Amino acid sequence: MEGASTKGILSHLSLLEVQVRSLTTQRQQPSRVKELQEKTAALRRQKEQLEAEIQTHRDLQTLRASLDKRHDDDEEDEEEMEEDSENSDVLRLMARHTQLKDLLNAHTIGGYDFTKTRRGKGLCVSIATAFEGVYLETFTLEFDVKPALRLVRHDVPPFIPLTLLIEQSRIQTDIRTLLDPLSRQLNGFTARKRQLQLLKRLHETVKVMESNLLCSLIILMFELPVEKKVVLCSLHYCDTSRSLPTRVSFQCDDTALPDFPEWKKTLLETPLHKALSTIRNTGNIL
Amino acid sequence: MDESKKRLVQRLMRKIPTKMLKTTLEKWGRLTGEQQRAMDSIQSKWALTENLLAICEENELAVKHLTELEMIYMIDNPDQGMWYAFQLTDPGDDAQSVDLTQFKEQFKSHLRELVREVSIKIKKHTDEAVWIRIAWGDASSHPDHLKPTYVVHYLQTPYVFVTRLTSKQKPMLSQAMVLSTRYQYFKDANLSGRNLTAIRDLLMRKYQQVFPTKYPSPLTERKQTVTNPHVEREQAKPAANRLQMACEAFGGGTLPQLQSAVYKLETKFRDHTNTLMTEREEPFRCVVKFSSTNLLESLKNCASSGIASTPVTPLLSSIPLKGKNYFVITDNGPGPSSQMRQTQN
Repeated sequence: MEGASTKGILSHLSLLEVQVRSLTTQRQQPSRVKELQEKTAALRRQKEQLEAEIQTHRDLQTLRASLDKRHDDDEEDEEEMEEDSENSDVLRLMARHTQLKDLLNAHTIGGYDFTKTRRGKGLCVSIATAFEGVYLETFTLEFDVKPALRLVRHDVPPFIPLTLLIEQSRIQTDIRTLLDPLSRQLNGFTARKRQLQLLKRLHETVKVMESNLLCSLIILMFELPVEKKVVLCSLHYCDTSRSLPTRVSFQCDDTALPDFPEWKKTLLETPLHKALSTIRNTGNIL
Repeated sequence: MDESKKRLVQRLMRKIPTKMLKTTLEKWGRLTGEQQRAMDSIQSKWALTENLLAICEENELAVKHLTELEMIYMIDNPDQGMWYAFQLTDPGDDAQSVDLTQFKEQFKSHLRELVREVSIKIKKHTDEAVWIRIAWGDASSHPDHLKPTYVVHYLQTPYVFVTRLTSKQKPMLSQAMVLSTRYQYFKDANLSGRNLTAIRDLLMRKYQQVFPTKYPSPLTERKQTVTNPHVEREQAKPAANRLQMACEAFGGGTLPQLQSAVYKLETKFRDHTNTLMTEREEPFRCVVKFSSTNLLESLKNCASSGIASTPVTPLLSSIPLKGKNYFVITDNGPGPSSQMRQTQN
């Protein structure tokens, strides 16, 4: 403490302060050690758990491999595996589950149903269509696989531009470049057809004046009860992959009548039969 | 009443069977209730014709009204004479958006530009088919209503079905059709038959096709005449297989009714024992024609019963597959007329 006298009282005080601080940290040390020990234990547990999981996964993979092998060797001859561990049943079930899931994925690539035909020389693809949760028609295409993928036959109606869709796709490298747009077209078509059917069934007072096979143009006629006027409503579905119209227009002899902006909005945004119910419920048409 | 109108009425009455007359006249809707009742009470065809002539005079009905009556009868009973299928190819960008009003106007104006004396009537049927009746005339004569051409077309599809068209009239119909549907070409689809619905269903793929999918639809036609259970068991699988193959080739359910299939062979004669014929430079020309009241059904039956081998030869399965019943078969090598190359089996 000789330096203290020479350097003054203040610096001595600060030195003392430092010493006090270091003493307190030293007193805190044991709790810190305990904390770290707990952390180690937790990590170790986690490690064990991961190791166990890895082991299970490995077991599953071996099981799955043997399952696949046996499946390839002989589909009918499936004898029971002899394993003593209590989890073997669960493991076996899990392996079978993953196997089936893979199979399902392989066969229905993105919602399309694929079938190998003519001993691997052909390929059949089914495209199911649906509207508002109801399954509608299913369309099928049959391809030759070799030497190049080529469409042999199909039951797609002639007003769906199939040839054009094939030309626009990269069918040899990715069949989905054909199937996705085709599926959209078919879904759009069946959905429009369904709406027209529902319209005829549900709204007998609304007369369908004009429609076509593709259901891309629908002209309706209905009456305004108050004004006693007949209105023609044209729905144009310029995007044939969609189920809703792209353009709606009204025609009436009485030019004084407004352009029905709310009706337009409803018809552009909701399916035809529902839109007409909405309009009818507001009491605007018969 | 002028002579042509009189002849048209007589011809119509000859064509329409008495039992169909009532409904046809009702659909026509040109007769008063009393006139209709009067027609119903008459039995003889001759008296009916005379009565209708009198009604035409009384109601001042013109030729265009009578052609309307003819169209109504024709649409309901299209299976008269041969129908020929044509295909429109190379659609333009706006081919998908042609609507009926547009088509009607354009078809009429294009055809009238080509033939001055022509009478055209267009009517849309409930199944979306557009029916066109064309009565042709030329520079020196009025349209001949006794020999009209009938054309059936579904908008937005490339198919056109025609009956009673002469080769002289074909180029004019072709041009009017191409221009008003926004396609480039109008060509023969090599398919014909007496049954319009059949050739339409075949081309528009409206018949039930059978695909080898994972979950085959249950095939209902299963004839079991074999009584021995062992024989039955032995034969059941090949029989089911043959039926599946036959259905995949020709279709399931009721098949489109075709009357014939023609194969025109222009191939070399192959027979080692007959050098005279084999060495000939010229191809051996012959025509093979299959006829039946229901050709596809017969062929399917041949395949499913084992008379014809399965898988079905492409020569036969091409009828539904390509929607044709006229084929020109040449030896390998692309020729202008080769619709199908010869297969070796």
